Amino acid sequence: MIDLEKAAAAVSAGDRSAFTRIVAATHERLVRVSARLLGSVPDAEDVVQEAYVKAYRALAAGKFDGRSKVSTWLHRIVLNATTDAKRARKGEPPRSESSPPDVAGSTEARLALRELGDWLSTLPDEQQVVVVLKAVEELSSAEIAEILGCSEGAVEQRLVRARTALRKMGADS
Amino acid sequence: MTLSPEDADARLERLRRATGSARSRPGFVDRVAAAVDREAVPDWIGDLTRAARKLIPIAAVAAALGVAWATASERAWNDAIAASADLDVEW
Repeated sequence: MIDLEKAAAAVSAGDRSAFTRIVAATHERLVRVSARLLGSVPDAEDVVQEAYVKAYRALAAGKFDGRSKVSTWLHRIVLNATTDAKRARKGEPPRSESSPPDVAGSTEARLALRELGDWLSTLPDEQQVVVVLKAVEELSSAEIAEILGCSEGAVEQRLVRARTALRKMGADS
Repeated sequence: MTLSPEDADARLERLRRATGSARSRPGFVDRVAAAVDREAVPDWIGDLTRAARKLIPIAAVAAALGVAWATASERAWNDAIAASADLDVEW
């Protein structure tokens, strides 16, 4: 496991290869989180790639102030980009994968991603994010609060509202 | 229709397990690195920018000294002009 803070400092000092190490260490979770919200791995890859380019730009320009942890900051960038992409693609079906099914998870996983993305898309954006981070990714409320820049109470409140809404939605949603 | 808490939680748990194997396709890190390379400015520009950033405080001090010197020079010049106006020049 690499020290992300040191790697980020190296990127700011001009070491581009340090950014590749950051990507290698963080992309699995970030793509999975984004895919669980968008309902598709290819869509998530596009969003996460764009988010990484933004993050690189910020690090190279010395705009990352280090007030939050690098992983928290990356989650925030990816979640914002994912939410924006979801809004932009509202009504469009998730992209299907052109690669063989075993490449990016099983057929079951792809269908489940689609089902999860569709099910959650009936919730407001901030509730979708909390459900994925808390109930699916199993992050703590404190971690989620730090990522979203809100209080732990707000996280819990969004989760309760989301669960209530999901229960009311009906089995066929 | 309202799902019982167990139904909604069970569905969420089933989808959590089923999507746990979702991961990026091979070559994703390389694709990101290529996108970053396209984005990155050439190294010499980056070096120049970083060096220039370090020189900003020195440049600011130099600019302040320059302004102070220009103000003092202008005052001296004005004093000299005023003094020369008081002179009675005999031809």
